[in-house]
Amino acid sequence: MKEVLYYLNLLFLAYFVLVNGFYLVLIGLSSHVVRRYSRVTAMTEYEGIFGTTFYKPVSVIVPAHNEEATIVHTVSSALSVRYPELEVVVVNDGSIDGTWHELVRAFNLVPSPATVSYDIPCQTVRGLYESLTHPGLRVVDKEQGGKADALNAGINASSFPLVCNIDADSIIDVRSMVQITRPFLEDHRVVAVGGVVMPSNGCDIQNGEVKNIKLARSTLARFQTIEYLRAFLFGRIGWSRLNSLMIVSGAFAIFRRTALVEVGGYRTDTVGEDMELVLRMHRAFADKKKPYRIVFLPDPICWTQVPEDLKSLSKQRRRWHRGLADSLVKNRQLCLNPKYGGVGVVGYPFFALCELLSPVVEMFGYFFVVLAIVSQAITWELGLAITACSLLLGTIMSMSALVLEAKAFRRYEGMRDVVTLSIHALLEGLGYRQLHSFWRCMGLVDYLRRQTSWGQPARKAF
Amino acid sequence: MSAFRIILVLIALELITITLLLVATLLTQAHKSGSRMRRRMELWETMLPAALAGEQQAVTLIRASLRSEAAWKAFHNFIDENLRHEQGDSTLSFRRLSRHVRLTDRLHRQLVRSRDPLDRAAAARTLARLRERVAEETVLELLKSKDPAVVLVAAYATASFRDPRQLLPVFRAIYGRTPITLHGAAELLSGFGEGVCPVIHGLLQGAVGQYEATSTPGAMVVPIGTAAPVGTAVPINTVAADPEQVVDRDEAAAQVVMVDLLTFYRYRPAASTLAQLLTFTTNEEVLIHLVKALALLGDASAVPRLSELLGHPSWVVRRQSIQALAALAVVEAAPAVRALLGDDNLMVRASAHDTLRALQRARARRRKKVVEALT
Repeated sequence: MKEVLYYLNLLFLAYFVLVNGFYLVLIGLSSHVVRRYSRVTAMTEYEGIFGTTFYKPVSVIVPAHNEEATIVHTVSSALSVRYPELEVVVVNDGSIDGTWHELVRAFNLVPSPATVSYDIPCQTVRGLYESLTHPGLRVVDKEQGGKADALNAGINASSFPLVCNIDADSIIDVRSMVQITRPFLEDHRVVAVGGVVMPSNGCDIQNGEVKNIKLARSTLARFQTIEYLRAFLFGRIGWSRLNSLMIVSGAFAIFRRTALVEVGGYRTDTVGEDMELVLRMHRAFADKKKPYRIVFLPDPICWTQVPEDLKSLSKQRRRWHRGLADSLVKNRQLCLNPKYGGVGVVGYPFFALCELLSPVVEMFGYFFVVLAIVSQAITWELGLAITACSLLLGTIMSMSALVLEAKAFRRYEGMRDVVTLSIHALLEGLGYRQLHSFWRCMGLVDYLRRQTSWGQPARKAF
Repeated sequence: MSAFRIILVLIALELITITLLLVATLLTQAHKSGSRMRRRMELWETMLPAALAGEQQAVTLIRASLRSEAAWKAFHNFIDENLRHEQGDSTLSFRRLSRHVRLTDRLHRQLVRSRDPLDRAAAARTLARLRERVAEETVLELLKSKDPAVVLVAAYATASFRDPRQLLPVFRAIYGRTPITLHGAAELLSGFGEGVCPVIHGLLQGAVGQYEATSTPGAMVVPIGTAAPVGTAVPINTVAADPEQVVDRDEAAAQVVMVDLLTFYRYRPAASTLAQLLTFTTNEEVLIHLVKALALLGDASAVPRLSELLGHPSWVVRRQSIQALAALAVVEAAPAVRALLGDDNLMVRASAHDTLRALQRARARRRKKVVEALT
């Protein structure tokens, strides 16, 4: 028994070393990509597009369900984005709070004579409205059908070839739209582009625009800042380079409208609709042997409110993990299927083994280390060393993300912010990471129990 | 060695890595917001107007600040950034300054010697913006690179020289060697400037001539921009019935980009050629862009064909045609437009609705003018 526990502990350690080793490869890849990307973008004239007619117009879709605290700011922010031709389509998804009244009051809405084509099936649209004060704004009022259904209604109501989805608690950086649409001009195969999402908590926001980037005051939000940096600067850049991007964030993504219609829009029976859509796109285009690319860019940025209390964060993370499990199961045809290239052979198995199961392995790992120490299968020094080893590997990745951020983008300018983030990267492994793994395990349990609720997080005004 | 020791070694290594990363973060941060670099930038910004005006003291001060490699790179970026919106004489001032402080020499060395194609492309771009013709040949070489990013940067650089003769080589390079879209290509080529319009017009006239030629059995067809080989005419009786067959994908793409550029520069002398092209082409993409162009350039000879296109199977073509008729204020087209109020497509119905209102207004204006003339 003791021997089994001893080797089991070493097995857990080997799992962490392997998983983190792969992440280290992604770090190397991402660093190279970011360096090259920074050099190329420095030579690209983004602003030149304002003097020409050679851009692709964009419809920004903002789905909103009970978002009265943030909706006006979000819509104002979307309207203030610098882009030559842009429409904002807000979808009021059967809100029962003051969302609708806030929209009518702030933007002077009147019924529009236009109608909505149902290119993608969605719940009944009760009405289409336009603003007397903001010509680029359209509001769709519809029966409640969930976020995915609201997005589908927004796609139906949109009239431009590119469709950008943002969350109702998010603010797009004013320069981001020009950057995120660029790949659609430079590569005819591009069907979707994802941008970076960062916590807006603590930032100085005026008239729907982030004026001054500051670190959040709450410790929980700071831990999430580290997490977001790690996820976006390493994971997605690396996967994008391997042409195996499995997810573009639902909080900030842009799609070719025809591609969305072709795959049937978002699925309404999942809570991980953003990841599910990307996986389905991979399947659909590879099946049809159509050349396509799904790209992630580290430059365009969208600011979003992250939860600052444990209850909301727990709900969010459980939902995300449930969505991950659901998306992987719904697109299991991808698994180890060479027809789907890197996504099938590398991306899918990695996500299944290292993203979906890692919290379970981690929780079991902690349990078996304690059990092995108690049963004297290993010495307490060895147990501590194994735990420390796995935690420190995580810290290396967080620190690397900080280096990359400081080197390539320098969004957090103050030295004080960098030091604070570094300290949080060191502390992350002492409690937060374990809690996070526990929530993700619970998310898996929720999925197995077929739970389908969203759990609306509490929003604060910007 | 026991597992415990191995893990301890691993931990020690990890701790060292974390410390190094922490130091790297802080150093990067310190370097980027470093006071020395900030002072340099302030100096350059203050001295730039005087240096551009040719004041020797300002030039000497800037030259003295360029001691390290980092300073040269920063100055290169600084000049490149300031050159973005400059044209004409001010570009000449930048060229003079760059030569005085020896930035031009460094960039030329970088362009010729560097092994990194992106480094070469960066140098090429700035030299092109400085209109240093000595770099032109190397820039054209970079268009042959296998790396699409390098090809794009080189294409931007070539466009900066504003030499109309390079328009087609650049178009062929970006369209053949990168996955660029037509929008992207047109945006890039717009950097050539307005002077390119007569060249494009000539090429499109050639295309019209080819379409006409294909209606005659025994005619010869050559791609756009290629001189017809004398004495080696290839009879193409088979395509006589369908002129569209002479346009392959590249040809259609070239036409779209050219039409877009003429529209962008509002080059009215080309309107009648575009109207002629409209009668020949059946390529949907070309049609859409031609209709849009004619709406903006305003050529009444296209009206019969535009009215025909109201029955086109593509809703985009139908909508564009309606909008073009509205822009040209063709009151006589009202019955045909009214028929489209019952179109299957919402966008077409909406456009028809708007156009009818616009045509009513146009008719009212016309009546008023007639009444005024009579009274």
